[in-house]
Amino acid sequence: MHESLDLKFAALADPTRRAILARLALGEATVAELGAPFAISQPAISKHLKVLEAAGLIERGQAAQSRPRRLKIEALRETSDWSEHIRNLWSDSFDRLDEFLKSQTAEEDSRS
Amino acid sequence: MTDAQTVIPEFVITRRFAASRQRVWDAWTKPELFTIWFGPKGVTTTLLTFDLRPGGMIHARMDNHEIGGTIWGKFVPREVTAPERLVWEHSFAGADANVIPAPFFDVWPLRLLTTVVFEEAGDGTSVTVTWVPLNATPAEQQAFAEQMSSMTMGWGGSFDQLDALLAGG
Repeated sequence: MHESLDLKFAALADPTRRAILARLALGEATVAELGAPFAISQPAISKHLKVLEAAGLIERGQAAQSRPRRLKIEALRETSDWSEHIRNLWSDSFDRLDEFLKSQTAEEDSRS
Repeated sequence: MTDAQTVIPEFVITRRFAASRQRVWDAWTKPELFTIWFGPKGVTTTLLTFDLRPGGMIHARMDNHEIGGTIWGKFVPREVTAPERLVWEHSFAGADANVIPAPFFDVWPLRLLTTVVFEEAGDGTSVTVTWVPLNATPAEQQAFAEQMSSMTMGWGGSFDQLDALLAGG
C-alpha cells in the first residue's frame, strides 16, 4: 500500500478525528474551537491534530497567531475516492466488461 | 425488530451482457481477458497469481492512476462450474498475498463470499454477483450493509458537508 495513503487511512480510522475533519469542512478553526465539542483535554485534541497533519489531511494557516487549522481537500479526496472505488467495484467492472464484450463482437463482425 | 445476528446483509448486482454465456464465462476465467475489465474506474489490475481451481488463489495488484496508490486483492476459489457458477472468498491482501483488513474502512468484514451466476438471457447472458460477509461480527456486517447500500455516500450521514465539498471541487 502507498505509504502516504496508509497514513491517511490510519488517521481517518478514529471517530474524533473524523469529527474534527467534518468541522473543518465548514471552514478553518482554532485548536480551542475544534476542541470545544469534545469532553477531552486540549493536549488530547492537539495530539489528534498532529496525526491529521502528519497524514497531510490538514494544515496550519499562517495569518493569525492562533494559526487556525484548515482542511487539505485534495488529500482527503484521495481517500474518499479509494473507498468509493471499492463500493463501485462491480458496477464499474460491469461497465468495462460490457465495453470489452461489445468490442469483441465488433471485431468478429468486421472479420466475417 | 429483527435479530441482527440472524440476518446477514447481502449485496446483489445483476447485469445483462450482449454476448453468449461461453464468451462471458471466458472473460471471467481467462486471466488475459479478466485483467481487461476487472476493477474500478481508473484502476489497472495486474494478476500476480491466477489459479482458478477450488482451493487455488487469485492474487491481483490494483494500481490507481487517477489518485495514486496501490492495493492488492486475494480471492480464494471455492467452486468453479463452467459456464454457470463461480464462488470465491474475496479479501484485501498485502503484496505477499496475506489477507489484511480493508485499508479504507474503520470496520469491515475480512472476507466476503462472492458468488457469480451466469444465466442465458435471450441472445445474451445475465450475470449476478452476490457479496455476503463471511464469519463477520454484527458490527462488520452493519458497516458492510451501510457502505454497500449507499453507493455514493462518503463517511456517513454526519459528513454530508464533507461530501458536498468533495463533490464540488
